[in-house]
Amino acid sequence: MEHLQHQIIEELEFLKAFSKIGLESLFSLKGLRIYASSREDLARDYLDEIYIEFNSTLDGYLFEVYEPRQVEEKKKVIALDTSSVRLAESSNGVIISIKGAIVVRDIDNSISIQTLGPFLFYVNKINFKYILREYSELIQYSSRYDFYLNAQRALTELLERRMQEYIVEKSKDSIILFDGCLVANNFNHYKNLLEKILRIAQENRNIIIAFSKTSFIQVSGAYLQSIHIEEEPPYIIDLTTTLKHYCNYEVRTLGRICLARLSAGSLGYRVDVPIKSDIPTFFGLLLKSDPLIYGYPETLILAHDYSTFTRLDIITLQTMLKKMDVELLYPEYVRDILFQPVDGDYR
Amino acid sequence: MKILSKNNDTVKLLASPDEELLERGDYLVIEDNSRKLLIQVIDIEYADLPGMLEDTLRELSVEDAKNFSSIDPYSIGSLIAKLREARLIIGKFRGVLVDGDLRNDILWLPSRFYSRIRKASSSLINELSRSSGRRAILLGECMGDWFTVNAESLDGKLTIITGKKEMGKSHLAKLLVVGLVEYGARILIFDINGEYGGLSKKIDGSDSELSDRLKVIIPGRNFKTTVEDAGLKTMLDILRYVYDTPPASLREFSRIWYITERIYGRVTLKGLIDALTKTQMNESIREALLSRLLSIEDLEFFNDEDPQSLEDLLGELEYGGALIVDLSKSLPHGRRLVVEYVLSKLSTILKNNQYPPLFLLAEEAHLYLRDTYWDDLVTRMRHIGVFPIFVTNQPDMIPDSVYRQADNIFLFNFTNDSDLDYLAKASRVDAETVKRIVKALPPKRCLIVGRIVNDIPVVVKVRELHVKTMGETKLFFTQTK
Ligand SMILES: Nc1ncnc2c1ncn2[C@@H]1O[C@H](COP(=O)(O)OP(=O)(O)O)[C@@H](O)[C@H]1O
Ligand SMILES: [Mg+2]
Repeated sequence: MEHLQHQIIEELEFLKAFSKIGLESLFSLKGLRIYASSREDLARDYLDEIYIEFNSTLDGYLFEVYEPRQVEEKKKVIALDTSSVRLAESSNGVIISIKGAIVVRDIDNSISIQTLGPFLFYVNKINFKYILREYSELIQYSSRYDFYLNAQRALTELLERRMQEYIVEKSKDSIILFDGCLVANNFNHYKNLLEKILRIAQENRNIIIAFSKTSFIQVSGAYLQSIHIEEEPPYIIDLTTTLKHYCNYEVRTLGRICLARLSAGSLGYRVDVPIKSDIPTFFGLLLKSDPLIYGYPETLILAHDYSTFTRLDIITLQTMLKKMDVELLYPEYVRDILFQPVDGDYR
Repeated sequence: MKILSKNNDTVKLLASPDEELLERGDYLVIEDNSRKLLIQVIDIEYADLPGMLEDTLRELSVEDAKNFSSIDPYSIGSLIAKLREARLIIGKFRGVLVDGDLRNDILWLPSRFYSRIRKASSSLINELSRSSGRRAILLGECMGDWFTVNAESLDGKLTIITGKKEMGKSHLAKLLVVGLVEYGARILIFDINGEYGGLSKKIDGSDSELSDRLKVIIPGRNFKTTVEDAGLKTMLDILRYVYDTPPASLREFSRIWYITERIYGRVTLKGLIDALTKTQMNESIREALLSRLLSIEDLEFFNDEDPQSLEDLLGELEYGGALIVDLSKSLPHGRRLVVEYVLSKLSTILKNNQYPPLFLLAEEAHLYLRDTYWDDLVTRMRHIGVFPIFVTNQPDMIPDSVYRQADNIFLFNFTNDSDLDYLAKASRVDAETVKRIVKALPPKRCLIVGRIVNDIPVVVKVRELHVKTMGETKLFFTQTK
């Protein structure tokens, strides 16, 4: 293990502990035989899985529509995102890798990219409380598969929230773009932390805007993205009151839920902003400070790209596990070997 | 290295960049439980790993970023960088080694996971590619060791040396000439560039060991003959094929020939011209024949005063040697006339069993060999004892049928796809091997296929020759210091 380096920047002190715990958890892997996760469900975006359902239609309801305000001022834009993969699974635990990326666009338009990780964790039924701390509350497993999923989700949240915390604290007067929503689930620690993040952001005069890519708001089975109004983009539809009105359970949202169509031709995205947000100014500043690609801020796309695992990342991580003396079994591969003649291009 | 796949006779292997350096043409042995599979590397590519495009695109966008930093506790980044360098080795199946024999008839595949893959030893390849015989000619290096072929595998065979200009074809041909002559072979050379005479001089200008075994003859200067020696048939062929003379005129020429013989007692070029002007015949035929005979006279090849006979010249090669017909100073018609004469004479001499077999080395033969001679050379002439070695940079000027009959082919670099296509069709080896290896050959290297290497294609780095090769293309501006 001497090749493992810990050259973690002072400022990101929390990562030191994070990667140390990960490293420790790997020691128990030595000599283990473990199944490599099948390729299809390697990557998932868990934070986006929360969605809100309605039992009524929005017919006749008047929503608030905002237009971004014309501003001259530009702000620094900071976007952050994380992603995770399950590399291998056994009856006792799961090997998870997570990555984060922070992308900064300065006033002069220059881009800086910082990637964090990949970090590796072996989470099992013995060590999960130690690794996940407060987040271990998220692990309510009824099946082995649930355990894997929840462990992955909890680790991802842990890193993502810590990164968010770090950014809102360190930055001032910036636009900070999150991936996902500002909705709390039934999990208290998370609600408190999110509140804290939003509070610190406000103290530092940061503007938080959370963009979802995959999350959707459904109304009686219809996607909210299909709402159309007479106006030409860019515009923002604030749906908070609507949702409160129609929702048959309490939405524990810590912000306002909007549909933002920022450029013509795009369907629009669900965007969450803190409750006391000046929506026209926030979006005016964003449009002035960051270019859009299909209505989505470029800086956030970059953060997403740099945090996503490529196939090559995964192959490399698996190679590393093998070097740590973990025997990886490939269910599919074994099948290939058994049923595919050697003669015949293997791909 | 790991086996990735096998499809028909193509085997693909994955290799990390740290592994031993391979070149196209190298051999690999895949060993599994004492059995061995022999494959030849025909190409090396970047492995097309999953996610490579994504990764490279990402890298591209990093180039635009002002700052890029990463916290990478396990140094995954450097591992990825290494993976990205993985190589895909494309090889061709050459057989299964059983008790030292290479067999093509055995169906056996090594395990993808447990087999050991290593570069074949040069001695193994030398041994497998050795044809029978004892007269070794050192050609150069192959897989880091000396490489020889046996002179016997050229004997009685048809050999082709082809490749782009300046790649070393003539150099190799000279190497073969030296080797053959040293073993006592006789060679007739059609030297289109006048470069083979240099073999008699060492680089420092002193005489080489070969100097008294080589004779350079320059048509019209120290090589002249009589029309009588050529004979009516050859003269008719010359008029027909070299000078495009129509049949009616050829008939009149025969008549003139007999008239001349009768009047002067012997046939000379002067006598023929004389008889032509005096004999009655159609004026336009007379004109046509006269102009042709005058232009033949201008070549000064037919000379009644000081003729040499080809028999005598060949006789001088008794103990092995080369007769070099330097065609570099002849005009196109002259070249073709001389070759017509020499080949027809040669055929008569050999047919009459007056002379032992000999090699015929012909450079760019399409420039002076008439179409009908190709088949004659590789069939009839071969039976009476003429073993051709053709050297050319225009492979498509040699007919398909000649390639099909070729026993040995030395292939130097070609980049032109149509040349490669042509060769790929005709050679004694699969098209892919030819295309991939030949296209990438550096100068002075050649792919050898055929009997001479026991049908085990090898890439050889041709050695130097310590005689003047004079192969350098003449330049207008010679370097002045
Ligand atoms: N194996 C070799 N070692 C050293 N010099 C060589 C070798 N092969 C070719 N050359 C030199 O390279 C040049 C071109 O070679 P040549 O045989 O004339 O090419 P080609 O006949 O294919 O046009 C010549 O100057 C020749 O002396
Ligand atoms: Mg040449």
